Amino acid sequence: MDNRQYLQMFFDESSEYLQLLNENVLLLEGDPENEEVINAVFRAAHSVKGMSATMGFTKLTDLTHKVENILSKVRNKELHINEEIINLLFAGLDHIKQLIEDIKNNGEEVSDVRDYLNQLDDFLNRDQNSGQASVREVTAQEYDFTSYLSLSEEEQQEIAQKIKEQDAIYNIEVVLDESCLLKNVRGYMILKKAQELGYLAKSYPTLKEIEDEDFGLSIYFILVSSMFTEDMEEILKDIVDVKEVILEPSELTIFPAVKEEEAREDKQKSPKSLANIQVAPTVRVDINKLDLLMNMVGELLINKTRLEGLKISSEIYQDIIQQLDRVTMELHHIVMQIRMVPIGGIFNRFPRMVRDLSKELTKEIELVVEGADTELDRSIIDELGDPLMHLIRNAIDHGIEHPAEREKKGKSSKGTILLNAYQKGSEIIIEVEDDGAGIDPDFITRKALKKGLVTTEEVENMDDKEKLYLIFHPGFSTSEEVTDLSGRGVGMDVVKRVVESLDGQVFIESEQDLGTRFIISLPLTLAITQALMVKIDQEIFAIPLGAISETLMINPNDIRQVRGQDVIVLRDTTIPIVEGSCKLNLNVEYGKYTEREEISVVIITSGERQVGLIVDELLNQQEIVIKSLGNYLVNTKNISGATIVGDGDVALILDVRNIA
Amino acid sequence: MSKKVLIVDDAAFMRMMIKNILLDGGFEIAGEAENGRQAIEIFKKIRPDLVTMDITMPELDGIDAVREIMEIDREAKIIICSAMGQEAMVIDAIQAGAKDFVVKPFKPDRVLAAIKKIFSN
Amino acid sequence: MEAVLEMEKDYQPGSKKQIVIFQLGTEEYAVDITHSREIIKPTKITKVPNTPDYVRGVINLRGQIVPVIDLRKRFNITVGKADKKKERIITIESRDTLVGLVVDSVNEVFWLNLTELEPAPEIEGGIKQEFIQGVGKKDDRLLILIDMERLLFADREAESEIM
Repeated sequence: MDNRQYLQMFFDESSEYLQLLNENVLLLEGDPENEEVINAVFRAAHSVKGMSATMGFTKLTDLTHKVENILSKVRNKELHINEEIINLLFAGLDHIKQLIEDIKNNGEEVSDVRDYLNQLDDFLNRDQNSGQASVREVTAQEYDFTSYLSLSEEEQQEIAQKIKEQDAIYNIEVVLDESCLLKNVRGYMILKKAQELGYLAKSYPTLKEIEDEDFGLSIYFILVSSMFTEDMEEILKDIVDVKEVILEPSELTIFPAVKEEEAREDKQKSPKSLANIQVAPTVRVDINKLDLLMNMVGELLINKTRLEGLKISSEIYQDIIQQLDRVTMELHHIVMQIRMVPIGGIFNRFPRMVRDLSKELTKEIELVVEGADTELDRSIIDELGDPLMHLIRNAIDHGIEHPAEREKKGKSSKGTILLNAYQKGSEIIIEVEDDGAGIDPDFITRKALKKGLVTTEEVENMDDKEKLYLIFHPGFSTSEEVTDLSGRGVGMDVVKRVVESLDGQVFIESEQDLGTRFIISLPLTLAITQALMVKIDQEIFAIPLGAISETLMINPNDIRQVRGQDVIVLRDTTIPIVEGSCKLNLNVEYGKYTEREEISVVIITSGERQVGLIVDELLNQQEIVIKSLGNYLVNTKNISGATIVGDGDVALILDVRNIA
Repeated sequence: MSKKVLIVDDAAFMRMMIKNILLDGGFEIAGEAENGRQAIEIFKKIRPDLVTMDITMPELDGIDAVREIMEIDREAKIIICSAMGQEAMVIDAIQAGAKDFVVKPFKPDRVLAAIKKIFSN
Repeated sequence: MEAVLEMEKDYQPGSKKQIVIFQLGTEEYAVDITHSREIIKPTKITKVPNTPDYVRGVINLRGQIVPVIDLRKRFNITVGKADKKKERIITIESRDTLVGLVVDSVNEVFWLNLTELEPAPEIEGGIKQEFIQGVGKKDDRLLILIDMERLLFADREAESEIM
């Protein structure tokens, strides 16, 4: 159990680091000399290495170690960033990602990374042979110290305060055995032991951080001590799991502090180290706990509604209800806020993808990201990654033309893909827009006909827009030449399915040679939604408002018949009507509605389809808390969940996508 | 004379395992306890040369048991038996006075090596 | 290692099992008490369309939606008539799912000696043998112990496999 938790943390954190690495390497490509970025990349790679070693993932450790080697050379200015290094780094990140995926799926590192490791070795050797390299061996030790343990002026003064006549300063590296378990604890014991030997001036990791720090196999520290080196070495080496102790006198010469006042003055002058940038304090919360909290808020909401229904005419009562209403709404709002995460989290992976793909296809593409801070419910965000990736891939692959072709059309040779997110009312809109070739409706229909997805007759009745939407048909793929880009993974039908499973919708706008825009609209949150309550055969059902375009009262005379199907004509559009009780297989006689004077119809929209649902009675419109029917009744036809209405009764939610 | 060991673990299975490792290593098993509370009682009675201490146990956990035992005998030699992922707790136990730790799953030679080091100091 | 430990804990030779005994028709049935969460009086059950006839519907159990299964219908028991006043819902938790079982009445809670549990005999009609974990005895009464996991998920899995 503990181990699994540990692994989960490893997955969470390593993917965060990977994201960080991808972003920063991309930055580095545009700004090769930026030391801050180089350091960030180095630190992240180092952390991943440490985590992997702790978990005992040898391939990952080995690979990240070599990547770190390259980065340390870059940091040391022995190497300069060029395209080859960037490509090597990106390839490395991909391998790391793959290995982590392996562990997730199979529990072990399956992928073969030897080729890549050889490539890295070749690269490093090549570099080593070109001059500078010969000194590396000697400076390696020193380098490690300067990188981990350079002393700030403040710290030097601290040593000056502590150091005595007979003391010497030592740089010590304690290397742990690879088989060492709970390295953090072992490291803690080593540093504790070091404190017994003298004054521990600085260490990497520090005693405080060692519990959480992902260091590799080495612990570095600077020790001020009067002991004999041999004795110190022996004591440290005697600790379990210590493989090697490298101990050497520091080149630092610090004399005992002369005057305290002077030192203090200096201390104030010394600039604050920029190394420790504080991150805003946050907590990680199990998403299940948030779901639970959301449930409780839902409960409260239901009971508030019940209270309101009492309609007691008392001033105090009115006052309480108002207060309760305010508190409930605020609480609801806050819980929703907590569940919200910026969509930037998934947007961030696309720049790298666009870069790689456009290179591969020799296209010039700029990705513009807007609204990355737009927030969406966490559960929705998690699902969106793949659909968006597919849309962007499509834009790169089929949308944006080659530079020459673009120039011929009078467009700039560089294409633009705009990824935009914003809130519109209670919906979140995400757009993927390109200024490429656009989608040719006739091309789409030809494809669809060839694949037997539609008949010629059907096509004749379609307008251009309807033709475009054929690309969402399962089994449709526009890829003429099979590149490994769009061909891989999901199709457009999956994009649509995922978005719809999130209660959202996808739209296409496209114009020849001007470009294409995919618009995804999603509800802000899945847990609570506005719904229309209707009555069908004495039972109350909820229909999410997002799927309703309008409600009507019709007269039996308005009903027409097309091919045996009852339809109504609404503003020149023919809409089939179906009986709710029939869709729900209720045990009543069907077709009775024609005998009624007035028939209540709810027009339901799903994508481009519209259906009129006949119900017995239209009730009120209200906020409902969506609850699952649970594992046992999952996949119940035409029912997507349940909610609890005012009096504590259960009302089922109609699955409008299936009904429409 | 062989050293006397008190084995503390709530799982009989684990106690059995440690017992076998220690017997093979030439130690004498002086007692077994299945929680921290029991461990302290038995410790007072038999004054073992070494205690192997599990961390997560009912009644009284290993960390508190280490604290109390160290108060009874400042020279007590306690080795923590921990699982992966218990870093923080092991560090607490070490701070409380435990001499070393071993990690499950146990490898006999590692356990014995750690114990020998405790006695050699 | 973890798995071994688990087994160690579960295995207690000669141990007893606490069961809830309930009535269905003329026979007494039982479920392992570790599966059951609580026994409630029937509340308003909302019918769920497009489900098998033995699914009576769902209830609101302190805000949680819980499906309710009519065990009489599930086992095709037609003998005797249930007294609505004595009817109870036993909520059962299995595989993280909470399900309610409608039974004619709940009789008692009892410690069953596992060594006395016998394999299911062929029972004519009614409950399928695969749902029976075994048959136990209390005095001279026969108790049919139901395999909850099988009952709730066996046929569902078969369905999804076909799909």
